[in-house]
Amino acid sequence: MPRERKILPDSEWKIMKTIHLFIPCFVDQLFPKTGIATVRLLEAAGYKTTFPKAQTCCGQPAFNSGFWKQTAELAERFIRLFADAEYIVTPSASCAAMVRKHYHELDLSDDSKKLLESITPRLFELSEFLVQEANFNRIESRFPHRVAYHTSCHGFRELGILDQPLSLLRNVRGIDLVELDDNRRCCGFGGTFAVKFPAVSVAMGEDKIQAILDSGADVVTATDDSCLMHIEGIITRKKLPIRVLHYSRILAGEELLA
Amino acid sequence: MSAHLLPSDLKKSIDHAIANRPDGTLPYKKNTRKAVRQRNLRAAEWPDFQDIRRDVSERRQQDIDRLEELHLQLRENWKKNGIEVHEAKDALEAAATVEAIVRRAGADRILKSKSMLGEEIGLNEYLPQKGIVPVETDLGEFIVQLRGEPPSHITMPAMHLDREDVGRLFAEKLGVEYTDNPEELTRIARKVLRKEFLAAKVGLCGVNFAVAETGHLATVTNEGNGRMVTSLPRVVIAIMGWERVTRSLSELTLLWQMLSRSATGQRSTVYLNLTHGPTSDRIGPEEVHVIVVDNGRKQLWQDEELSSVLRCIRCGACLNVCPVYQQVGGHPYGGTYPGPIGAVLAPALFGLETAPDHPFASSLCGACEEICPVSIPLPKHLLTLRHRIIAMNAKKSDSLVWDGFSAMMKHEEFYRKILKGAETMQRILPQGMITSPAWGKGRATPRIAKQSFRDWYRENRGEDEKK
Repeated sequence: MPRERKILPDSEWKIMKTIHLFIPCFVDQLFPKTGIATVRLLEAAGYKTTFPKAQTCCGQPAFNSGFWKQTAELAERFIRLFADAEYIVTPSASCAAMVRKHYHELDLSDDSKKLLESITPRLFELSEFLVQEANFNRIESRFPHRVAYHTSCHGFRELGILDQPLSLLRNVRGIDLVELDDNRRCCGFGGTFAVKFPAVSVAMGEDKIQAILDSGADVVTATDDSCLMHIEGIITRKKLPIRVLHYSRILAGEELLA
Repeated sequence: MSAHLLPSDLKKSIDHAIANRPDGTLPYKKNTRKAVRQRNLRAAEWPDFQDIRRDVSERRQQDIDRLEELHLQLRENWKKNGIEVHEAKDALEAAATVEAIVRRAGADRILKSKSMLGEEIGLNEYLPQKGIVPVETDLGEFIVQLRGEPPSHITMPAMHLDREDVGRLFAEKLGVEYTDNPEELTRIARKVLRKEFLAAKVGLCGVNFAVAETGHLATVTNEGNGRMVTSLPRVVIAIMGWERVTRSLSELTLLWQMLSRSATGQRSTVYLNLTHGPTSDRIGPEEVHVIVVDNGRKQLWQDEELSSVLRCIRCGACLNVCPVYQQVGGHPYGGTYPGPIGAVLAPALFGLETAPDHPFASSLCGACEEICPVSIPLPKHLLTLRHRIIAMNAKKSDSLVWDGFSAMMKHEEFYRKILKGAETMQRILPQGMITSPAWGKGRATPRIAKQSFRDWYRENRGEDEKK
């Protein structure tokens, strides 16, 4: 495989701080392009990255299913893996919220609890990091499409993420950002909810897709590939002309294939 | 125990509801979303709405914390005001107390204004078995009673119906000519009920709040029926949940406004009815009874993790904003309280085993907590209940799945190999064989990427030497 072509300009590497990438299991396996875009954006912002390769899953699916003992085992592991990180950045708001907002509810060892407290302020969702920590807005990509931004529930309601990705997206040349009707309404994914109650989950997704169609957007984006995976699943079944793309990929200059 | 049975299989119940939705606009979807828009308008009228909400939430929690003390004060004032007090530890005791009072009054009918507690203790099922006819006087309740079904919403009992449904119902059950004009429909109901009001010996109402400093029983309504039920009959019975106490009249006005704005998007409801006690001047009841119902509340009050749910003022905003409720309405949930608040109340009040699936019927989107006028952390409670339900009695097959999941995720190599295998399977097997039945209906299954992120990173950025 050829070395990747750098789409964003080389940064001057002044800061040289290292970011520990937290690439959630499903992004690693299903949406690697989101992880790649994350790396490119962080490098463009002047950071080095490292990927602790032993990482797997933060435990959120088990937690939301009520299996907290199994979750705690994965949380302990996660905390150990990232304990010495200067910054931890993830392109998934929901997984960031799991660590920041829910790990403390688990039955963890005293050591892990202490480490967790020190990790939490250093863990960011990608857009939070780029805007709040890196003051990065030098987006040089072009994306001549009408794009609907779907507000992911966990990102918005648990972490207050909304302005950060939107302000970054506004810097993309040619983009036509549109707001969805009732844009804070859940798309119906909800993790294991999507397989426990598939009929109502899909019905919720269909309402979201109707709102996307009504907006005239040809692309839908969000802070979470999990919501997007569910939305894309329905779009594919219905053979609708809407493309689905994590916002990091738009920022990093990914182009849509015809 | 709740009067309306909770479904033994909630998933089936919800699936069934989705599969059998009529074409066209669904009344519950339309009505809930309209109510949310109206509520948001009213919230936006107060620039400091979030501060007020926080303040009301704190003060409501203070009232809950002081419930025992406030109840002592209440009893004193009730005694002073001439109200007869009854305690009921469960639904059956509460219903039997109503029955005894009705019998003593020499009546065989009872006029009711809307009460969710009345639903909870199963009055409309219990009383007819004892030869007593309960007559619903709230228009929405009147409609669902004619249909022989429970209300589908806490504050809008007939919100699953449109006016055509009501027109057909009245034509069939009341022998009137079909009309779907709301005003005419109201007039028809009014004519039927007027006779009942004038003949009634016993009236029954719910209690939104009992005011500790004065002993007033407050009911919040939009129709005149609540006032008539508590003033025309000779004997009035008020039933209240043990937690529905507030400290003072000024506190009540605050709660009333929050309730009105959150429930229907009104600045205030049309009526705030205050019952003080019996009167001797023939313009009010001669006897006023209050039945204080426990039915699981005192035990929930002791539950540190969940007791904040007792703050609930039953506005129904969490139902309106819930994306699951919007799709199916209230009936598939069964029981008395649907939606997010019901998914917490049912297992918390009546026992985990009575509603083992309810806390799972949520995408945990958090819209309920965001809209709740008393800031009940509903998603957190849903998660706590999920954890308790699993800890109490996890299905063997589920435990195996999550033990396996955890085992795989604890070993990166294992995780990598399993997913590589799955990727290969996806690639070589026909589409039909790799679709999970739970995921696949109506949704295409996502594909595992040929090259995972970790493989890309190793190839393009190199291996992390430490880890």
